Amino acid sequence: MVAPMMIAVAILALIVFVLCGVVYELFRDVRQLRDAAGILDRPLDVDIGAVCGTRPSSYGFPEALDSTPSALILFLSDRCGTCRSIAASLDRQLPPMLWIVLEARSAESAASFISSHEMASMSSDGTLIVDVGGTIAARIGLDATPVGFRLQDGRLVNATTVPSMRYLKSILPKPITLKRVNGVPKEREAWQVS
Amino acid sequence: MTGVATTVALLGAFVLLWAGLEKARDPGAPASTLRALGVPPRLAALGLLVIPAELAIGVALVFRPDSAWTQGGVLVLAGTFAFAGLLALHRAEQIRCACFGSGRGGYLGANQALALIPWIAGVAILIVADAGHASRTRASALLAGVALTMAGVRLMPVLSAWHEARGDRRSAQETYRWLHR
Repeated sequence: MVAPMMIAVAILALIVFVLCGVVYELFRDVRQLRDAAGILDRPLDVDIGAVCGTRPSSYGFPEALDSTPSALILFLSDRCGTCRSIAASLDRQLPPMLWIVLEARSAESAASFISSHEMASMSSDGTLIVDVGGTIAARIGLDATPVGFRLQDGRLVNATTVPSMRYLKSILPKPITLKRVNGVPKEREAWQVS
Repeated sequence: MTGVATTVALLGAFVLLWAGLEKARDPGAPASTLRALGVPPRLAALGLLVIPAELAIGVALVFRPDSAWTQGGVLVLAGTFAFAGLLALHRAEQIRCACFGSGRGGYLGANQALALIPWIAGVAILIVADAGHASRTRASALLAGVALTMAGVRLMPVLSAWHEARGDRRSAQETYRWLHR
């Protein structure tokens, strides 16, 4: 009785193997279609050249960023569709370690962008910086949006284009959380004894 | 059946069953490879026989690794692939290899010729280590194990592609939601 059961298991597993192959082909197929339709996330690295390793405050960012261990500065523009899509997907409260620079043609267009995407609370806590006329972007030499600049130990380290909110979430620095340890770690035990 | 012989037999069964099932998904691929090697179209249709041969020898490696038919079958298959590899090396153009189905992008050549060595070594181990044969119950369990391992290995890229497809769908959805605002 065991042998026929095992044979049945083997046959079923082989069918699963074939079906997995079919599903994989379908996933590839859908991705090819998305690629052909131009609706795939394609983040590109931005060459930041001399900006790498410099302090954010030297370009007009708040000085608080110079002492931030890890953050992402996202440049949005009131003229770009993807920026609007990202802004529409943001919660009223920005995720920790995310700063936004909104490039706007004028103070009025910036106000209109902020109110239409309910970003007023970000503006009041200082994590949203309005860059009327693109002054900060011009100092950096940036002429594309949306672009995210990674900041490490108060220095700009690299930059990438941000094609979607999903990608933005994936590149946000993770906050360090405290973990409760069960028992006393060995190193601490030794220190307590000494 | 010794541990070494069992491992070798199961490894061979894994490779042959994988190759056979992959080819079964695109049965025309072996024939088209043979045509590319210069085999006349009528004879090239015989390439279809590779699929049942691989599957049968794969199963036989689990149930009767000690049989001369099984060991001979392994050597004939490996020899055929090696010969095809050598033929491909002598031709000017690159010939697509349908070894593991048409989905893979490899070409026929030195790899197939070199693969003959481990196949011969495997058969030698089966002979020297006196493979014997397991009881029907044990062999069935071993076959189930091989099949489950194959399904497990195949599942990994599917899970990864699933994750990727979900991400693509979510980012597209995000854009559509904004467009319809």
